Amino acid sequence: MNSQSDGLKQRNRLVEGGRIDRTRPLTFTFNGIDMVGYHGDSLASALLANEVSTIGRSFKYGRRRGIMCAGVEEPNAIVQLGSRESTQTPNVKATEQMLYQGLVGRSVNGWPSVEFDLKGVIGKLGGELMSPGFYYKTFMWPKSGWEFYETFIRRAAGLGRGPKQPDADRYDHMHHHPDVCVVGAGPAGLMAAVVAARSGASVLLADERSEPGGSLLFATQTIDAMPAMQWVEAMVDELRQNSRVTLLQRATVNGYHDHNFLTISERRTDHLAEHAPAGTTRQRLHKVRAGSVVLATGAHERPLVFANNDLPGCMIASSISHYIRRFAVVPGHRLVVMTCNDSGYQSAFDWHDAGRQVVAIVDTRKSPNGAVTEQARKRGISVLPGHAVIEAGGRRRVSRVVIAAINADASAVTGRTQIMTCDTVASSGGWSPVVHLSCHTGSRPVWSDRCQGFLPGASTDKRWVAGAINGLSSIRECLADGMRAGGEAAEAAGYSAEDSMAADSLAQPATAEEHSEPSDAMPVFHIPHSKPCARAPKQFVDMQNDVTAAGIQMTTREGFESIEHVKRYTAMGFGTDQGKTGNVNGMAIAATALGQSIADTGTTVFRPNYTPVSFGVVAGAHTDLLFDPQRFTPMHQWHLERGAAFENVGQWKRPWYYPIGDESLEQAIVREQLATRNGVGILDASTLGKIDIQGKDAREFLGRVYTNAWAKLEPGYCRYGLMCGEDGMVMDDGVTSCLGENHFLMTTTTGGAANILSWLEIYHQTDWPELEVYFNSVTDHWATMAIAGPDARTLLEKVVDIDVSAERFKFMQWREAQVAGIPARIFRISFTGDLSFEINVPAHYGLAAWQALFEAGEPLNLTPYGTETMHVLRAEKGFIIVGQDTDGSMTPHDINHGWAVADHKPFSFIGKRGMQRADCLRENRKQLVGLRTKDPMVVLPEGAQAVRNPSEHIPMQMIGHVTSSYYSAYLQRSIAMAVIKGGLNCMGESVYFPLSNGTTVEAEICSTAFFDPDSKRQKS
Amino acid sequence: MSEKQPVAVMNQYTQGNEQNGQILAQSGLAYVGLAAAEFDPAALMLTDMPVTGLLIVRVAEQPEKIADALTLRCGIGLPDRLGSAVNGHYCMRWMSPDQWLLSCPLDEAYAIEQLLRESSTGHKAIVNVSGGYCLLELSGNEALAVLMKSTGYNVHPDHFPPGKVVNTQFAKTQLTLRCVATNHYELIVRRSFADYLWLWLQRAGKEYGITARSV
Repeated sequence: MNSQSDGLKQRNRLVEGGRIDRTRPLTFTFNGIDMVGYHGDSLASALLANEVSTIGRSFKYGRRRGIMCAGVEEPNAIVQLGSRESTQTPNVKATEQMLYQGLVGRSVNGWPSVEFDLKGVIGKLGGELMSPGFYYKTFMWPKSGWEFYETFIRRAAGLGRGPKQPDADRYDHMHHHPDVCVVGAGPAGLMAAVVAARSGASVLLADERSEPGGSLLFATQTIDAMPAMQWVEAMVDELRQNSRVTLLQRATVNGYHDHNFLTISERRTDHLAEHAPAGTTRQRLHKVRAGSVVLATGAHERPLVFANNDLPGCMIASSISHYIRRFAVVPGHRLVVMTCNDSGYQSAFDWHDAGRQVVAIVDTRKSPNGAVTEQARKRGISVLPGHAVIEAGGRRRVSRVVIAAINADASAVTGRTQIMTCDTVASSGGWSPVVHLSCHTGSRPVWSDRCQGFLPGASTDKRWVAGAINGLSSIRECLADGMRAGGEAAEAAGYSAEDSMAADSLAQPATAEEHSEPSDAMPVFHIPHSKPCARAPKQFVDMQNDVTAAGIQMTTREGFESIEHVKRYTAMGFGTDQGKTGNVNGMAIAATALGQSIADTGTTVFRPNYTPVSFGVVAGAHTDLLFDPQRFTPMHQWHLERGAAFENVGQWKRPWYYPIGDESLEQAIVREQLATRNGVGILDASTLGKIDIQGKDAREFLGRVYTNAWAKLEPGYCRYGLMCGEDGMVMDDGVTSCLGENHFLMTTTTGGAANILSWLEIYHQTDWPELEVYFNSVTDHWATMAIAGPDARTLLEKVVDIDVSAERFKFMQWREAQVAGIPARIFRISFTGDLSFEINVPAHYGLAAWQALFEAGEPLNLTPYGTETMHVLRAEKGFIIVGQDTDGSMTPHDINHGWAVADHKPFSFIGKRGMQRADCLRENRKQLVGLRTKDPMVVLPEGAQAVRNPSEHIPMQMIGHVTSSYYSAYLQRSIAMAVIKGGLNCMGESVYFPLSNGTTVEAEICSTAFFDPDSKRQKS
Repeated sequence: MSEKQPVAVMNQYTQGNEQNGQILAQSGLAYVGLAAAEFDPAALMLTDMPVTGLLIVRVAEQPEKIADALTLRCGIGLPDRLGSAVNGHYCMRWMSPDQWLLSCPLDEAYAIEQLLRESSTGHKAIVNVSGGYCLLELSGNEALAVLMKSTGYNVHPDHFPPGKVVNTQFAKTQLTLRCVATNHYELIVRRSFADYLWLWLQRAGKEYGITARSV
């Protein structure tokens, strides 16, 4: 109750200033405690305003951790958001998350609770349990150790959790092709974007924060004689009014890929509510292909590494200014600043100007004498040169620091220690240019002694870098650099900055900076302690992964010399922050331990993504019904109304069976089979691939891609064709009809349609371009309905305007006709073995023709059947399905289709040589045969393995397997097809199928033509 | 079949028969039952166009003869790379170096196919695919944003001005995209993918308040 009423007071909030709206209070909950912040707050600033020090527990040691930074580089303040299961969002950085009304947040770890963490107890006992390489060592010895530790570690470690319910929000993608893409809307980025836009180039400017400005959001300087943010607003206004500029806010450029392709995740509604407003997507992934890219990503300030530097209250110096000036929050009462450079002083000035006490500025430099020391003196702030904060102390947060004099290269404590009371320690170890994106395409960053940081390496793309990423520190330099980069980038994209710009707009804005004479920074990363590093309290390098300076030293002692190995052994830089604050310090410590320079030590590799992205935004709108296209035939609505169950065939939805009432699949297909065999049934066959082939060499081409002969097929006739790959294995089959002397219609399997068209095009374009032939897909153009059964002709006669008698319209012929007044091609072909006609009409008349057939077919009890019945009917006749009865290792001879191989065609055909390889000609290959089970009611499972001797011991010699197996309602027994070694020479012999349930089924090898072996029915 | 004709050309249009009366050609989205609505050039609008005649025209030799015959009959020739030619109900789209796509009134497709076949003796193919595609139009101030959500092709007016035609990937389908006029686009998609495209455009256009209509 106490903490709640304390929280409501926002005791760290200043009464004025900041970019927050005090008239719009927002209530929110953190770890179950209600608090208030303001519109414009980040979650971190609101928590600091409410004096919340501990945000979570550390990953390995369970130590208390507080907010350290104000931006994307934050390692500690990661929280779990969401008041409901479906909106649970793990690992949100409180520094990136803007506050909204009703926000519910929790610490991501801390078990059993963040205030009492078991690991914290173990962590205090010493680091031995979880030393660097702990996981590796535990895995190695003792092997059983892992089993013991794992339960404990899994429960205690980890960061946040995913939702257990489907995400209630939607996401999408958007593509852009700007002339110039600028990353970062700080002084350099804004300037670059404005210059490029003025030249006429189309510009996309992406910035990760909730408002543009970058470091100017908390700067004290003026630009063009106005406060810096007023200048930002003027620039942004200009950009917004330009229709050729796209300005993305809350949009993190996460990947910079080859050829100037950038991926940007935009958080569109995360700042409004935990659930996106209706009709809006929560996040959007922008895919940007830019002519030129300007990286103006800025720099992150480094903390200094000292003992207990992870205590809540230890912060990065610039973040102090950020919280005070942007959010009007002073995150403590008594501040000690430790810095090795001028920029660290600003935090003390802002703290002091906010009316709170600055205990001291501890400067590691022996004699800092720039303008900033003068400023400090004017404010009455004591400066301790040549000193360092070697240790922080306190239980819940910092309550004191230990100060000592250090030597010139910061390698040792030289004087006596003194203790200062404070609740906040700001440290500045210099600035690391944000080079991450510049490295994504393979460019390695280069160490610069001048700016004590890695600078972007060279690029082969049209890429410029501008501002602090270039190692620049003053706003004046950044603006000039932005102008240069923006102009050059626009010029490279084909625009002239000078021609189209008014002379005055070329002038660089004048800036007034408070301290213009800088004194040199001191290269220092690791603050010495009076005890040796390994004996001193923990000095943290990577806060998120609990990597310490002593751990890195130990790692180098154990022989890991490559920085990549150090990274993997210690897990430095592996967290969700990717070591943005810790990496350079860690490399410097490793370099010192190895006795080499940082430049020689190098960096680890930065890869996309720069910050974590949600799975939702990667998936975009391609979810649920839109995960994969569903293709429908023109009669689909009819099938739906008829209650059909559907089967996926490729992307098509095909009617599987049409249950009546509460019929089961088995009941429905028995009814469908008998209705077809004894009367007439109808199948929607529109999904079969159909390819229109025209040209004087069409016939010749067919002869080369099919195994059988096509020279003598007359117009008006149809022929079954078998297609093989170069290896001689069956690839596809279907009926091709000769429409005219130079005109054919090829049908393919439903799933093979697109591949076969490609196959034909590839052979035509690469091997036989001299053949005059064109292929065009007409799959979607023709609606195809197959009527089959003894009454099929009777039905057709009722609707057709031509003579379809057996004498005038023979099996394997086709006719043009009107079907119920609709122009059609009718093919007398059969996939059931019964009298059958396939009627093709233009798809836009498909439903009308289908309905007309049902109207005419009512007295004949015309029965729609689906793919399941189709499978049974075709198996009764022994017709194969490529891909079911074949598996890519079967020649036409293997499936007893040798009759469809014309070896003596004048030109060769695809697969001819392949099927003549020795292995394809050998005896005892698996061959397709029929099977009759001894017990006619037993249906063999598809895939069942065949053996000769059922009493043989395991491993038994397997001689083949079942490819198709059904219960045939018409034959009133089970039927099956199988591939059996040498099966075609074993007619009448028994094979056995030992099943997984322990029983063995005996079956007799037979012909695959179970039904109408003389083909009287289909020719009737 | 009586004599050996080189190519089977077929009149695929019907007015209907005595029993059934008129048989309407149904678009791939007919089942949705979209109502006719007034055209509003500013509002984001998806229009399911009536079934139209579509001919794939592939020409290996003598394209000028095909172009002349077409100009005489329809007032348009064979447009250049990535271009289109429009005259009233006729529109010819460049599809690839030897391929064009003609749209025309459904009842004229047969006559035009015959005319084009007779106009040259060179190697060519003409295929009536009127039933194979759906024609949709997307219009309104936000139409460009919907396209940008759907295709990786650069549809910025700088790069995709009125008259330009591309075949490109669109979400997870593929279509022929033509810029009809500023903020006005034509989408020709395979009929079996029309439902997918319809669902996709509804989702992509939701935030802009997309409306759909038939004409």
